[in-house]
Amino acid sequence: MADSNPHPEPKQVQELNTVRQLLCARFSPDGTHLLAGGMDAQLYRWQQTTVEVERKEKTKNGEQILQETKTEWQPLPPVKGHHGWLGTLALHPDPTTPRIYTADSWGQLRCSDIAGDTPKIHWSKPEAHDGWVRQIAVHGNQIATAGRDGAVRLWDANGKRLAEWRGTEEIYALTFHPDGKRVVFGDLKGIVRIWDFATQTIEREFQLNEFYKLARLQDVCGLTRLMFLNGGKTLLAAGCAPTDGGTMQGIPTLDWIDYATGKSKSRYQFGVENDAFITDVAEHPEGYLICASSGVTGRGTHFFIHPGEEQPFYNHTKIANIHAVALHPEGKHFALTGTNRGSNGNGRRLDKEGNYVGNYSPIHIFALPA
Amino acid sequence: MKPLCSPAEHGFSRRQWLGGVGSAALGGLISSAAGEVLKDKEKQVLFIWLDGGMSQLESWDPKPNTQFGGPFRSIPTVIPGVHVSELMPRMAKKLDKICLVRGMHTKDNSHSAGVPRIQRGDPVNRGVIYPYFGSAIAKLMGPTSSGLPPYVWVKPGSGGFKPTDAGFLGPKYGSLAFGDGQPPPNFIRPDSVSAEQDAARNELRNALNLNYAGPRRATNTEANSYVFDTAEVLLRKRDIFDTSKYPQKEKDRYGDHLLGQHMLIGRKLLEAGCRFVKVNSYGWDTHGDHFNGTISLVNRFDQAFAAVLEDLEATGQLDHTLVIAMSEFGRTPRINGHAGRDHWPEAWSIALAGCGINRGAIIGETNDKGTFVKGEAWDIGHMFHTWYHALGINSADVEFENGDQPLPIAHDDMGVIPGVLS
Repeated sequence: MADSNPHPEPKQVQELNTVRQLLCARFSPDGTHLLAGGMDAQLYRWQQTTVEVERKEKTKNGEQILQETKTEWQPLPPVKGHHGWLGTLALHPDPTTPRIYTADSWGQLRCSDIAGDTPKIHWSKPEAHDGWVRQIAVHGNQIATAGRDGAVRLWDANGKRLAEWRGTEEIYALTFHPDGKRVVFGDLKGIVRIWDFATQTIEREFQLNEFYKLARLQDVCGLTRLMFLNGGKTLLAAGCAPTDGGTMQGIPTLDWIDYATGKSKSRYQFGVENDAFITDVAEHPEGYLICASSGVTGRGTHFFIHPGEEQPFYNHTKIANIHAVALHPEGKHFALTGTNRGSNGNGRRLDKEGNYVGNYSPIHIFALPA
Repeated sequence: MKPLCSPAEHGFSRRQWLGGVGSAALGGLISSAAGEVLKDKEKQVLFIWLDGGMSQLESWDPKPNTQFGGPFRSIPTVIPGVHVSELMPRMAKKLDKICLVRGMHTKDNSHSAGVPRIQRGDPVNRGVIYPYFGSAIAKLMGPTSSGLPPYVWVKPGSGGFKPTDAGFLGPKYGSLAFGDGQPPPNFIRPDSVSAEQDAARNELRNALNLNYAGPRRATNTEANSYVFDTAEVLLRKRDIFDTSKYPQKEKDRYGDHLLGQHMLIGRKLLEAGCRFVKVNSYGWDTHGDHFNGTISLVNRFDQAFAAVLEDLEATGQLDHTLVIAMSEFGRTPRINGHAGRDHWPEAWSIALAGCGINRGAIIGETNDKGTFVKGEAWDIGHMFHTWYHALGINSADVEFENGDQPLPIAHDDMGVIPGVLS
């Protein structure tokens, strides 16, 4: 899909250097911190700071120097203590309660402060799940988690387990219904369930066939995100309609589902099989969605689309393999975690010192047009 | 020159034998030095081929919590201090039944060149196309006393006779492939043709074949005849391919998936007496979404592999069956932007079990990050020598003969991997 942007375009204002690959990123609700996790199990943090800069301006008499302020993101020390991959994080929605929930691929769920050089760890559940915690969702003081163990669990803000649902398939995506009484989650095979955790019952379930394929020996799951829109009337399912396993291929897909009926209202698919996943979605306060995608190595897009429309109104293809999009709470900036160019290859790539080198995820900070 | 294997020993037909002698002039008979080493005709091979490249890091050689270690945990095995990926819970309990070679280091990182290069043993280049291991065994050891085809291949997709595996040995030593676990169409006598009718028909065909074969290259005509002869033997074993008649419990143990069902058919073919059974799985080339894909791939391999080892041991077959599970290479430690791993021949693993193999041995190691082999590394040529020795074939002495050209059966400059053989 060629870039086609009739509207004013976002402008990249900063690129943050990283040394490892990132999988998730979010801004804190008060907008002061950017937080990200990835393949080295560390929580990376950047703090918003204001710096003074000088700008030269030509005048009739020559040139004058103007003092201005500029917002930049400065790194804080990363936080250790997770294992495997730190693949999901969520923040307490109250800006006055600056806490972050992080989970890793070894099953640990943790709650910690956000700020400071050594943020306080409030609690940790090393075996919140048996293995990979796929996603965290937060609603007020409630936290829901889903894992490779086929379980969905509900926790309170102190880390006490309140309820549990167990299935046989791995859960890939989950979200709270806006009423805060239900968790909606989708599994490997594309089955979406609505769980009333007060009564511990599954109210309804429906099948999203396009998000699953058995390719030879391999189960290929395309579902990456579930998200409520319209005050809970619409459920957005995002990800990939897989067409093959191995070098996993598929068509990036957004499916707007009528929550009342479980039926698809409209579906947006773009690109070719190499484009694969929509990896993350953020909802802008003005009502449009900021979507990021990652396809075969080197391919990636981010685009803006109004829910239910057939084409995005902004599309950008120059950042490869984006795994997360974070929208600043003021709605004026967003961040993308991309992947360095040339990240693939069968040969042994060594640096000048002869070390085998890994890949990393530059973070691109964009300013949205007014 | 004394031929190594007589037709009586191998249950070959007279015509096959004549064809074999004819082909010797063109290439393929082994030298007399081998004559005394291949007395045990009932040794067999199960060769499990995971096409595309299984990741060593998500299977036999995990490096959890390191830069390239991926998301998964490792789990302890029955061998103290040795861990495998959490995706292999069944094999973790059976690691004392196998030998794990963690120090493989081979040369080719492409599929198109790497698959044949690995399966032919990557010998010194002498301008000839070497046989795949299955074809080499078919030549060196022949069929078992069952008379069943010596080299069969259970695989997804198409089947049929695959002569190219045989290289300079000639098409007769190619593989007979059972595509989707079924014999080739029309290979088995249909019910509408009686045994008597079939015998009469074969008699006519044989007469015509002899007439046709007279002035032609023996290697080609014997291969044609050979297919019909083996079909006749297979006819008596046709129930092998009807998995609907297998006990459900048995099918469940192997797994309700392609590899599980094909592994089960493979085991039945071994039980029936095929010398060399290759069981093939495709789809391991996980350049993208590797970690999600690997969950089902490795779990299903773990299930099928553990089940077949269990059954081979229970029946005593493991004592005389060499089991090999491998790919053409491993996968890169580096994780690409599509969350995939690419091709990595630098440091990977092969699992062995069965006859002649040292159970519970862990041979070779990789460095802390899993990027390269630490200490001595082993190439596929070493592995071929080791396999031959496990089967009682002294690869240092036995040679192929390609016309007047004697050829070593494995790489000249390599030998048996220390510690692998019991």
